[in-house]
Amino acid sequence: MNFTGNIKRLILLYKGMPKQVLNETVNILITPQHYIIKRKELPVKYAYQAKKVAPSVFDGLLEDTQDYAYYVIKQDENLWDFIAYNPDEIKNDLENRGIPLEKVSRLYFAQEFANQITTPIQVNDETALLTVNDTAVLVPASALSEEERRLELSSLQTPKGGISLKGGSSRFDFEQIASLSAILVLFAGMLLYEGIRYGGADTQGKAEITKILKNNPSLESKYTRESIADKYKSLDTQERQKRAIIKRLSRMIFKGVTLDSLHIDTKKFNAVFQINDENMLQKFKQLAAKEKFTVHVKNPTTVRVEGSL
Amino acid sequence: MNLLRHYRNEIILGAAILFFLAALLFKYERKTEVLSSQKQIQKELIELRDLEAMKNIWGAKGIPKKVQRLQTLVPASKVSWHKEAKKLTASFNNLSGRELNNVLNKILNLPVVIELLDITKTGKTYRLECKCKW
Repeated sequence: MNFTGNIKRLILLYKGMPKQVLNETVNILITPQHYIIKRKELPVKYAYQAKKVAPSVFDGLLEDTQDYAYYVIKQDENLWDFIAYNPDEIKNDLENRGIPLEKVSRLYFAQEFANQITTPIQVNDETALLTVNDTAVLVPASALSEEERRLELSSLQTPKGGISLKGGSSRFDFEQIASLSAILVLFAGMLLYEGIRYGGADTQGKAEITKILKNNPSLESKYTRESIADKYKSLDTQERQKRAIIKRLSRMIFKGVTLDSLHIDTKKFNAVFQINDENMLQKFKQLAAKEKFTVHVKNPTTVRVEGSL
Repeated sequence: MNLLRHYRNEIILGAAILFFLAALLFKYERKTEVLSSQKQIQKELIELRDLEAMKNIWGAKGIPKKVQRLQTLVPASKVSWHKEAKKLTASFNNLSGRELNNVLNKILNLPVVIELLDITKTGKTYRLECKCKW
């Protein structure tokens, strides 16, 4: 993710370079003075696999007293350039040359530009950077023809890759982090705004509650409300049940069936029906079963239906 | 100080992520809180509507008048009426089938507590006894 584009100035890092005064963030091109390179055939596909074996590639070539880090560049199929470098040494050199690490975006090895260095790059009065056999090397400037055209650093295209010495293996520079942080803060702001806007809870519901309470001040107290609810809910249930039973019993009166008596009180009910014939009795029984009533046949013409509330 | 400078990018990014997460948490907390409050309001509203409806039915002020009208449904000679405070004991005698239906329907539609309802058929007429209160 690079919102700003990697268009930072490229500075060469070499032994004996003069002190720099920097106002902006820069990229560093590390000359071969600061690293050791070895080309080797290795049948691996990915850089991380090559990097794993890098220490063994330099076995016996590096000083034991220093801590090295490794970097790999794929040259060709199964052909890798292994680079060993001392991060502390590079850091010290940068700081000694007036280049604080926070002003350094990324560091690139000269080898990463090998294919771009088609003509020499003048490093200082004595040395120049040149590609020989696909390897970037420093050569004495005196060995080069003075008429030969020199390549300007600004004409180099920053390649993908490089290293960062600020935050370990972090691939993000300050601008990228700042952009990402700004986006996160923007989203956070939107979320906060959305959260605050949720404040307008069910105002319509609240208004209706206020209206009901205004019409029924007794309902304002929770205790009174519970007491009223207890009173009316049980009453409502019981009375609706009584009326429903009477309606269900009335549905059982049809041609050939008459009501002889009906008794209903707060606990139970019973009804006596007169039925003309056996067919009607069967039909009546079916209806009673459908209504889930208990039926007692007193005699062929008298039927008693009863139940409790 | 050097350490802070060294990890400046990480600290900035970490702070931004924390701020973002806090805002996300705040939003969801707020949403949950508001939804819960809305649910509570809706629950209370339903409860109050139910109570108001039940109070309007069973505690209506016009019930005595409505009960009184029962007396006029059939000729006075057929009615035995005893009303005391909020209680009624009434007997309707020699009712035809139609009269019985009429009186019974009116009683069932009244918002009163039916303590007793007794219907007896004698010959071709009915007797209805009713005890209710409100």
